[in-house]
Amino acid sequence: MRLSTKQLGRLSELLDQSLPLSREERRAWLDSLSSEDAPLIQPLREALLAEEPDVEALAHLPEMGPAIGDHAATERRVGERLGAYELLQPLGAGGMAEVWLARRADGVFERQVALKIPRLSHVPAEMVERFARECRILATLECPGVARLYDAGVSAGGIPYIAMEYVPGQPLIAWCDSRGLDIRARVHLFLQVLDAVRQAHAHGIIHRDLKPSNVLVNDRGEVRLLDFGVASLLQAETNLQSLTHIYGRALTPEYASPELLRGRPVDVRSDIYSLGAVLHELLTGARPGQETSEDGKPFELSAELHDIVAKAMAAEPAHRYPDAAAFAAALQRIASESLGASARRPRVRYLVIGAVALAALIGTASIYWLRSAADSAAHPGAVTTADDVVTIAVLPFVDLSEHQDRGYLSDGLAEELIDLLTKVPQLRVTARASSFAFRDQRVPVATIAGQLNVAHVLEGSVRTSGNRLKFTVQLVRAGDGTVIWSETYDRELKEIFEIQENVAAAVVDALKLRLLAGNALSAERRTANVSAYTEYLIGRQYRDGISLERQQHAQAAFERAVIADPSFAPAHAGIALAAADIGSMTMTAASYDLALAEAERAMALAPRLVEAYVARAHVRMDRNWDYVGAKSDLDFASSIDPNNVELLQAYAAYLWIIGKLPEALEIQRRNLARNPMASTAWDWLGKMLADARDYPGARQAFERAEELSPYSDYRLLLRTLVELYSGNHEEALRLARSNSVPDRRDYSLSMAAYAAGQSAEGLAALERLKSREPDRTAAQIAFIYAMKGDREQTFAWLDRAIALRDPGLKGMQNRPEFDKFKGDPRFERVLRIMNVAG
Amino acid sequence: MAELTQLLSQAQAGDAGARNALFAAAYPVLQQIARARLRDGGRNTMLDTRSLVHESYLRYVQAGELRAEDRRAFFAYASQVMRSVIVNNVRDRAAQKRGDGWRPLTLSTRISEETPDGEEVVLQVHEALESLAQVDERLAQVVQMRYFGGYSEQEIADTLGVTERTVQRLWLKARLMLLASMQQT
Repeated sequence: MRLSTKQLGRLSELLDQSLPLSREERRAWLDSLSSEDAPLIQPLREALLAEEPDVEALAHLPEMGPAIGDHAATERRVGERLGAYELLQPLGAGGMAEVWLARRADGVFERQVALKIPRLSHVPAEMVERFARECRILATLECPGVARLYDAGVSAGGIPYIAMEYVPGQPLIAWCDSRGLDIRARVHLFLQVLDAVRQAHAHGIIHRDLKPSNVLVNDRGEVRLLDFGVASLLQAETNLQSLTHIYGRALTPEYASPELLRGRPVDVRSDIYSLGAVLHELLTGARPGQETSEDGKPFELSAELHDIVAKAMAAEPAHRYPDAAAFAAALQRIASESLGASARRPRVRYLVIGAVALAALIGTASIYWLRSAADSAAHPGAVTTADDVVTIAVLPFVDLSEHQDRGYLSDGLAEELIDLLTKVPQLRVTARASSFAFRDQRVPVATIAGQLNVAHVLEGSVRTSGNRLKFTVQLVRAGDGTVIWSETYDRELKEIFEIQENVAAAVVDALKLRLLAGNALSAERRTANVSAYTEYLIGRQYRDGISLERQQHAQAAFERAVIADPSFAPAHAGIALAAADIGSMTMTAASYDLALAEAERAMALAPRLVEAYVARAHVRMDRNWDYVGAKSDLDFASSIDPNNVELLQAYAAYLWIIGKLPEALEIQRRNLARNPMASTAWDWLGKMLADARDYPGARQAFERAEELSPYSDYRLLLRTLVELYSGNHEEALRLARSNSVPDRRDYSLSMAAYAAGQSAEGLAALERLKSREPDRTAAQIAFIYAMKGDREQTFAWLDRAIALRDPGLKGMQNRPEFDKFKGDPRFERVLRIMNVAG
Repeated sequence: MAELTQLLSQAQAGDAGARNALFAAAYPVLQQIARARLRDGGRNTMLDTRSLVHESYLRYVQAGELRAEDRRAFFAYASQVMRSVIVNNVRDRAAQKRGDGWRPLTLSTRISEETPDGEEVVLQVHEALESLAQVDERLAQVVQMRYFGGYSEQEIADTLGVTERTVQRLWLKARLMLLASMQQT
């Protein structure tokens, strides 16, 4: 019987009465207790009259017996949180990690995941960022045969985890054995494995730990590879330490290539070796070099299969199959020829190649495992060569619907096609701003192709009736007007994305290019909501302009899209991009906050959405001067889609801001090659060329921009500066005076007047600028003083601009008027504050 | 503003959300230190919980998440986290010893062994303390700090804002009540 709460309460009262009493008094007191307190009398007697009070009782925690087994096995509990994940049930544990079924506890997504928890006791803080970054790269790997890696991180308690797609299934060999598969069926299944590996290799990711338990087969007989990239994730080197140092050996020696065991740099052929070992075990039941168990594994290797396995497992990487495709081709040949009747060949000795090398290594291997991380960061996976670039422009499709009110749809189709085709490595696609400049123009295809400098044009029409969509598209070779390919689709409206993918695939096929796997529009980028999509397209049109007003319109349209479909990631990213620009133009914190929140929302919805990372990079650059963070976003975006024009523009800006002019110019030229009709991109080029002191080049760029978009007060300002720098003072003064925006006029006028030696006019313009809203033009005022050579005032105004985080400061170290400040410690300090020193 | 400092002041003002957040923040750290200690210490480990709390406090201060002057509030709070860490650890160990899931130990103690081992004692105290808290919150706090937190009487007195003598008195009474409560089971 336990004491009830009531009894405990009574006990408390009684103790209060009796504890102050002496021993004798307590005795008498105990005797006086009424029968109501009978159950408490015995415990009270023990407590109050003990001969020797047990001072040790409960004085401290007791000693614990040793726990049975590995402490680590008791590490996690059901319901425990790791980062955003809640552990549901253990799936298994190996020597290096345990795996739990888990779910997002924050509701970001519903899916259950397999959470891999490496047995690390502590992760140094400096590794956390790296870990997360590597993981984000891996998360881009989206191949049908590879279990997705969603997320990785380090919990508040310092426990690293990797969230992967949960794949219900059986390990490869167990699956085959339980179904009694014959050798032919096993080879066919293995071809699936090779195909999955090939696709992952095409993304430049090496597995490093391929083994039968990392190959799962589901009930439908579909292969899924686990842990792709995980080994390299854990072996990522850092300046100080690698996780491997703590993590220990992250590979299984029986399947590891000799070079991997030696800690030498590895490439895809290391995985080929492991695959050879897996194939050997799959077919013979024994690992290479190991005798088969006597309980009868049925298969022997035919001479052909033996040769294939031997080649895959050659000690020298150069003697192996160069890639998974070649391995598969060899296997395919015999799968279709000799395996049919399963002609049994004389038993061949189990493969010992490789195993010999392995045995020799095993003694020293552990040392190398610990070292292998450092020099194995390079991933020389399949990289496409860029020698034959095919060029194409997708024109806006003609809206043939009854009321011509489906423009958003025809534009949308074309735009999504541009997005898809941009991701084909060998294809150079003209950006939408450029190809859409030809909307509604009755210009021959050859003319358009000439202006856009492309060899192919994709054009089409859209007709809708009810909820049916009739979509005709043709691919034209510009040189001779030949239609290379043409197709008509008649589908329901809701199948629009499927049509886009079909068309993209067909175009790629017609152009004899290879469409890399994983380039299809991922589900999270889509919306089934037509009005959300409409608003999104409207927003994109407004994005094309540089003015504040256009960005505000864009933001409003994207916001309407998000209201219609809250899970439509590209619209969230659109808000982020527009708000980031607004934040930079108006220096308002709320816009930056919105941009950041929306960018991260978009990332959560669609982890591969380039625009979301670009938007965050803008915020990091403009608000936080965080160029390291910005670069990591841009690099990540680049790993997804290096040709995205938002990305290229942002990357060029980034390089320019940190003072890497030649690199910035190169990227900006790449941007323009894809987007030759974007006036703002030409303006940017002009500005960068001016900073690079290439004034004739800058003039040309501005002229090109002028052709595309007639007047911009900002461009006029930039042109004024070019004339001023190149010594044409009269022209500079003339241009400055013609600027219609007061701040820009006075700034450029003051600069030009001082440069021309007309101090009175320079000073007057400067005073006007200072009397208006100097917080808005602090950076420009500093530039004027720098031009004049007034150091004190220059630094005073620079400090003021810095305090305001004036975006006008960006790239200022490239400006000629600061040439004479180089080496001045105060100037160096300013650059350091802005995080752009050195 | 140091994050934990802010949470602490909110929790002290009665904000349940802040209290939970504080718990969530402190738990893994104490957990980690406790585990590392258990592993390093090998067998027959007696957890020196007081030093664990100190260690975590120092970590937070060094990381700038806590101001040094929050020591008192943090200590008051940390004993609760420590208790949770210990009880969870002990449950895992006890479950593993039996080779099956967790069962309430109060049912099996008498049957399985004459003298309960350390794990079982801890769990009994934990359970008895739950009842005690319903009768007298302050007594339960003292036990939590003394038994689970391993704090000195001086530290407890500081934290509760009472004299050391009062702590001794409270601790004596609480201990008697706990023993009485546990012996009844």
